Amino acid sequence: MAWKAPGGSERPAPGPCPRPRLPLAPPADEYSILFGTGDRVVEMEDAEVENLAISISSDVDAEFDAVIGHIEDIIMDEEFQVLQRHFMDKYYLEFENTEENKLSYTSIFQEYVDLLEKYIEQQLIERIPTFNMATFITSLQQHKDEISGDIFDMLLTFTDFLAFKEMFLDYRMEKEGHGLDFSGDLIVTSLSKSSSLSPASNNIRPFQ
Amino acid sequence: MDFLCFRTLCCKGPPSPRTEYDVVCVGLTGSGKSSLLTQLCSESTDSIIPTTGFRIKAVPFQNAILNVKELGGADNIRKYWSRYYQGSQGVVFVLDSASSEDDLETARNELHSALQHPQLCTLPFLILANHQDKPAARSLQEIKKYFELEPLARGQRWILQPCSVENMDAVKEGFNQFINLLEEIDQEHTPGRL
Repeated sequence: MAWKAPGGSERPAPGPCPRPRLPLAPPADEYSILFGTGDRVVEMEDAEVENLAISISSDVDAEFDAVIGHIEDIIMDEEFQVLQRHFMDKYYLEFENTEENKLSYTSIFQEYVDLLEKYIEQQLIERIPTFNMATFITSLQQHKDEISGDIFDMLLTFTDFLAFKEMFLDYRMEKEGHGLDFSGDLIVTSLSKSSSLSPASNNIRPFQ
Repeated sequence: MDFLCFRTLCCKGPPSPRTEYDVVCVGLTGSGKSSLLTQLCSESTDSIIPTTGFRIKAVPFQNAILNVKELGGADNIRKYWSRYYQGSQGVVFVLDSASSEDDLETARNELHSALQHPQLCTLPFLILANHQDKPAARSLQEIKKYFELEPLARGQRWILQPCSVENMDAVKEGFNQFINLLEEIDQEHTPGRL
């Protein structure tokens, strides 16, 4: 699972009108409508069918969709991204790609949840005063196949330690990958007879 | 958020037919926790060194998958064990049957602490009397008596299984019985479920 800033340039800017973002369970095989983001297939029969599908969904579903929509907005927002990036920068060097976990990972995990999950919860309550985390979690179970990959990955890092660890490892790889200097590793060598470089004297090191 | 609620979200593929249980695995350093768990996953035990942190391993059995949180057992790490108890449905305690008297006493104290810990005292315990292949290993009866399991763990569900890495069948037998206990408890908590 690659860590990447959720959203980025591929997503349309959130508009003022709510739009159906999540696939609704097809009532029969008459409709082959699937909505989705990311790597899900997007097909639309026609606008009429889309409207009919929306009216079928219940209030609870609509509430759930609204929360997901807000979460997308919150995590795409600059404030959250800065918060997250600062946190990752503070600790990414602590994480190593080994099966064994350091005890420190646990306290960092706790701090991560306290900082970022609570931030999202606060933001949700500001947007939806009646928001209830417990209700949302129950809905999450039922709609788990409908959530886009980015949101799902983000939410998973708050509860699944291994997902959290992988997020840090991916971040570290990105940070350190950009930092490597390859300029000394590649040398163009002439293959003409006049050049007689022996393998020992060239500077090409095995790619790691 | 409730840690357990996301368990089913982790697998995006077809759901596994086997139930999963979260268990914690503790014991003194050198008792053989890492070795046993590694062998159960059919991985090589050649490069095992003392655990200084913790591991999370999904160990497959016929009827269930155990998500085992294994903690290092050195003196300086044991004080952190209780931080990892949250969310556990069972406890695996590994002891070295052939250890010195002092170490055996320390193991007994740790086992008693675990049995009485508020987050673990209602959970089933699988106690693995490991290193049975060594000449100095105490027998099953001796261990049971020394660890005072009958008086102390009264009212609790536990299994005492002698074993060694040379005899993985005994290890699996112990775990299978342990899984039966976990299943029983699961059913007790969800009445009306078939």
